[in-house]
Amino acid sequence: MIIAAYLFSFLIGFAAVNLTVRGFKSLSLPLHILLSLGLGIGICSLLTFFSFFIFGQYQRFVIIGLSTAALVLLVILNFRQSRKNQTAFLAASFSIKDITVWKIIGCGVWGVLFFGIHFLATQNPYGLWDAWALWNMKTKFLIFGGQHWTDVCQKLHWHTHPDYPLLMPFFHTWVYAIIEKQLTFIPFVFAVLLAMACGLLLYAGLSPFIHKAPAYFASLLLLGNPFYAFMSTAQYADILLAYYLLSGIITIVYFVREKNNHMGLLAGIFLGLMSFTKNEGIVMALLLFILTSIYLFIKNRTNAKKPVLFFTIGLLLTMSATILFKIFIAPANTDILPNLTAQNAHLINIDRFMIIKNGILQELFNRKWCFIWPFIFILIVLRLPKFFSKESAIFTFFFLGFIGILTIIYITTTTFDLVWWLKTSLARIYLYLLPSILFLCFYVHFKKETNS
Amino acid sequence: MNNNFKNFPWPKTRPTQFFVLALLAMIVFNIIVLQEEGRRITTYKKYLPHQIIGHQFAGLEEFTKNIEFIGYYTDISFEEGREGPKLFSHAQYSLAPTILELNSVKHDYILLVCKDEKNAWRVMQQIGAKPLRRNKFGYILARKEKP
Repeated sequence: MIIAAYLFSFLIGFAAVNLTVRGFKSLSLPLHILLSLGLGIGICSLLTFFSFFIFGQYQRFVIIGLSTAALVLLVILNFRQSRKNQTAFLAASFSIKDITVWKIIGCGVWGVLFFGIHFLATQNPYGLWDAWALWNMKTKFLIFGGQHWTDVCQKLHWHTHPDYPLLMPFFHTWVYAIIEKQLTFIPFVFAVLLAMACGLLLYAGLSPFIHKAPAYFASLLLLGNPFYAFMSTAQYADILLAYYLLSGIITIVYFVREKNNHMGLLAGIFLGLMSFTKNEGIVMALLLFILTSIYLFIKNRTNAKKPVLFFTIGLLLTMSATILFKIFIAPANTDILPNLTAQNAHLINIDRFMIIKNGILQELFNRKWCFIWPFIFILIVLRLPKFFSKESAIFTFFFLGFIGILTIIYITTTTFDLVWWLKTSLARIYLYLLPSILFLCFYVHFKKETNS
Repeated sequence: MNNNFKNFPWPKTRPTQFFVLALLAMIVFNIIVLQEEGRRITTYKKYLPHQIIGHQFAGLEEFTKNIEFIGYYTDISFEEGREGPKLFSHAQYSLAPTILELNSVKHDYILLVCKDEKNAWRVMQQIGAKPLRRNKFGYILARKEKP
């Protein structure tokens, strides 16, 4: 049954991606499939959120009805557009001749890694502490809380982060609405699926721009990393954030490189979904949006308005849920924002800065990451100037900017013990940045230049 | 099906060969560590099956169904060690969507999670509550008597 639920969600995502990128020939079928998985999860979650927002509580048949209507509508729109433009129904292309022995071997190795990831996940069927005590517990409130579901944002103990956006719990609620059982199994399947899909997305996202062999090795490097496998199956929302960040970056590369406005729309949609996943997602979405728009205006001064408009529409389409949630449901953030806005905030605090610097370095060189970060560091140093050229500059400035913002938050927030906070949060930050940083490094090192 | 191995992009220049070797070394190292981790887990799982979150409070949800708030009283300090927060989180997860209000005895139902059970009985006496359910861990769900 759970497979049927995922298939339903995937079909919604597939139809939505197909409709958005119609007429864009360069999209490969694997990339189309993997983007559809993420978009399907996002759409189903947003539909569930809107059903809660309008009807005030969990209504199984409203959720199923809305999702079915969305799928039917998307399929009709796809057919209409296909007939109108006289194009093939599927935007992505695939041929049986593309299958080679190397690809079969490659898929076999991915299969072995999938069993490794699944094995690690079975050791924590409830996920790690914050997964069950925060995300999965909130899912129980959404499903069984009736009209009191908003208690997750207003009345629960502060340690449950009442202001966090709820894309993941709403998706688990959506799956529960379809299958109505196995509540602890739903987040488990979600975590294993996304942990694997993130590695595959890294390959599918890199392979149009670089040679397939290094793209494949990049995915092996990620999926074979034991700590990545452990953390990504911990049932935290960080793996979903990693997935949306990577999807957003891949679609932005298409958007700016191939000058395809429809990919800009899709990129905006992914950034909006990221903002409904975690609070960090809001910061990352806005930062990527601003940097990409600046890049477009610098590159095409006169012709940048239309692409930026598409990008903005995409962002607003999905970010609308975050805006509604933050205005009408979520409480104000009491840990970080008051400290940042306080007039006496101590931005220059050398002691705290040194603790943060040491924490970051210790995590970078921690053996649990199997030296993937020093490896990335070498990749960056080897071609440092290339990281600041063309579209790569967007992402380099994005990572630098995001690290800068995080550092300011760490320095100014005094609600938590800094050492404890760094210890508990840095590994998660590294987790959601890792797939995208690997993407950037391999992209910079191996990218094929276009004539344009 | 194309199985021409000659088409495979073997690295040609020295720096590329070095890079591919380093990459392969990383991947092999990852797989070795993953295997070690798997072996370690299999060994200890023989003796310790996985933890069921909230098992200490299993069954209490039948009594708290449809109640929005209950009090949670504990004599375990939250400042020393993880035991206090862990039990509170387990109870909250287990009894959701009922909200547990930490160290509050103002509600009709109170969950008493005490290291020393005498403390729980003393609190019940003070607030005029009677035990509704006591489990094998000594945790008590009490209800205040109507005046």
